[in-house]
Amino acid sequence: MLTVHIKLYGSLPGRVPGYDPEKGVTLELDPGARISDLAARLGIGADEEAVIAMAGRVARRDDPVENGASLRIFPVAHGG
Amino acid sequence: MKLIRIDMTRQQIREENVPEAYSGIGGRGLTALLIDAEVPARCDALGPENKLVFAPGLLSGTSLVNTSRISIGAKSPLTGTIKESNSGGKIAACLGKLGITAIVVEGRAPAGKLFVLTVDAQGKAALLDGTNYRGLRTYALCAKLLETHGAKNTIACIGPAGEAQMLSASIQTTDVDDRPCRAAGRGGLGAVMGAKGLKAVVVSTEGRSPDEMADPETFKEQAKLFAQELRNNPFTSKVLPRYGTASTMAAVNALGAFPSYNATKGVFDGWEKINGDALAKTITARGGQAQHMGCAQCIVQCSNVFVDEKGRYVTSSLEYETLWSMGGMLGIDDLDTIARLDYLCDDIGLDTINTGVAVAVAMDAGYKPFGDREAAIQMVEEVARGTEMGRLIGNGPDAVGKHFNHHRVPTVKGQSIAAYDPRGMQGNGVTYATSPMGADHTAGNMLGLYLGKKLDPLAPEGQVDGSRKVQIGMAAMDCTGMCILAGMGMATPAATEAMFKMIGAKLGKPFSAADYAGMGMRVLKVEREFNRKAGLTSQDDRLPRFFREEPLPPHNKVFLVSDEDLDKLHNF
Repeated sequence: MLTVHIKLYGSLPGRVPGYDPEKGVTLELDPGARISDLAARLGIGADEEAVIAMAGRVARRDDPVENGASLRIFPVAHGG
Repeated sequence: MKLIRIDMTRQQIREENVPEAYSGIGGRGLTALLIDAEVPARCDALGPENKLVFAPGLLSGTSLVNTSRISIGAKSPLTGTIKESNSGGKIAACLGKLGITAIVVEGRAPAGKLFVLTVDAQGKAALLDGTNYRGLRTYALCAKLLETHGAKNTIACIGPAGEAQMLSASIQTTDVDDRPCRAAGRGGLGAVMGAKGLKAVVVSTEGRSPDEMADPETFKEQAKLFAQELRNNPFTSKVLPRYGTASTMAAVNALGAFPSYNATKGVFDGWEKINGDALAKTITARGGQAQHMGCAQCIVQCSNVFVDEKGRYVTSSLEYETLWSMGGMLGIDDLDTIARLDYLCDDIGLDTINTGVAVAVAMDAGYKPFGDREAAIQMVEEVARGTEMGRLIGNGPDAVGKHFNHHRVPTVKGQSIAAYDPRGMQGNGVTYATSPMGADHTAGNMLGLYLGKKLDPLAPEGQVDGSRKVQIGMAAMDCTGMCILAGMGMATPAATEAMFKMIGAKLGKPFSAADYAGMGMRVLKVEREFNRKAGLTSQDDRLPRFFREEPLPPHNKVFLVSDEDLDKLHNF
């Protein structure tokens, strides 16, 4: 199994029941899982404008999930 | 379609029809054309030869939503370049509804004199003695002005920093709740206004004589369509109203490009205490307004009203860039302190970005430790008191860096960078280096391209082409009066087409995508030509050396775009 640590921002924490914004959530995924699989687990649709960053880089939905990775998922932004 | 010229030297006012050379353009485009044509490029920015131009956008005053951006332009005393800084609130819409294309403030009032300019509901301007307002901070000033001239007015004004002609002085505009909390912050234009002897511009909100629309039916139809596109866009309809511009903090920290502790780290340790989520939660729990309409005709409502633990007003609106400059850059992860600093800057009349970075440079140089909340507040308060340290802070990061002989000063052409580090977002570095405005994120922010995986933010390839395209688009948008955030609604082809049709309906001639890009290119060329005449060369289109020498954690990259490539940006 792959284990990843995830933090969610904006309205996205509502996707995970009991989500603790300070701790985030740890998920286990099947070996070979891709970002799209992770998104599906969290109820984030393929056409939804949520950005998934893994290890400081924006991930594509077909990127493989790295075991032990820290991911941050947030709504799309364009600056202030 | 009229210009109002204010001769501060003789206190004379003259109205004229908009000359052909300045017609068909508004906002930043108009300020650029006028300044380039009428201001000697090598003049003293704080002298009588400079001109201060207030120009609403081409579409300000129309029925189109989110078009109340006022462009204020002059030669900048901070950067030595041509400058446009724009602000929200109500004044652009009000000037548009009065059929005023621009107010041009010329000359310089006699020594010791201070004036207030009023524009009534018929569009008639008057210059009144304002000596009794000397030294007032902006909140107290605006309360008095509205008491004197009536509540149905909106204001652009300066605080003590502008009167003292400090290089980070802003021009504040009142929001829909009549608070002077909107700012044309960048470039020290408040100092130009102070040098002219003008304390405030008071404009009636009851104007009913906008310029005629060539094709009102098409405009109305397309304006309705554009508004619907904004309501359908998740960023403008969900993210911004709930979390404001602070929502950007998650993205930039996740990318490791959030310049912190005076640009020595790319992730701020305490960013989750001051991000959009924390801000909305805090404001809501205290009974403030996490969603607020700050500007006229705004349907996005990204503003907020921050209150203290007892529910008392502290400031509006707490924005991403200020959360960075007064937060991450100073190592301060306390919203109450940042809100206080934001209020102080608005009240004293200071650019929060340049001021926060000036404090950051002082802390980095060892004057006070990072994270010292009280020291940060004191340093900003000292600006209003005019102490030696206050004058350094008020004159910006370069002044502080020189004083302490400190090398790490994140400015271009004297103006501080914003909340995107050039080493973590290389294209923003290109924009900082090459914009005619000096370092300015609104001139060409690349964040959307990086989040959309259109470009690798850490690689040098493609950044110049990307920045050029965004800079041209922003220069065009800054002519329209459209808010940069609502402008993101132009992401869809339907909204983009609606924008072109509306400009065409206003001007009475077909207006295409090529015309829109052409407008942006024309503005950039004029601005760059002014800068050339002012003595700037390609050697001024460079980032400070430390960005190339000091890697930024966590990616440990330096700025990689070559000088040769930077010099290609203006090849169009």
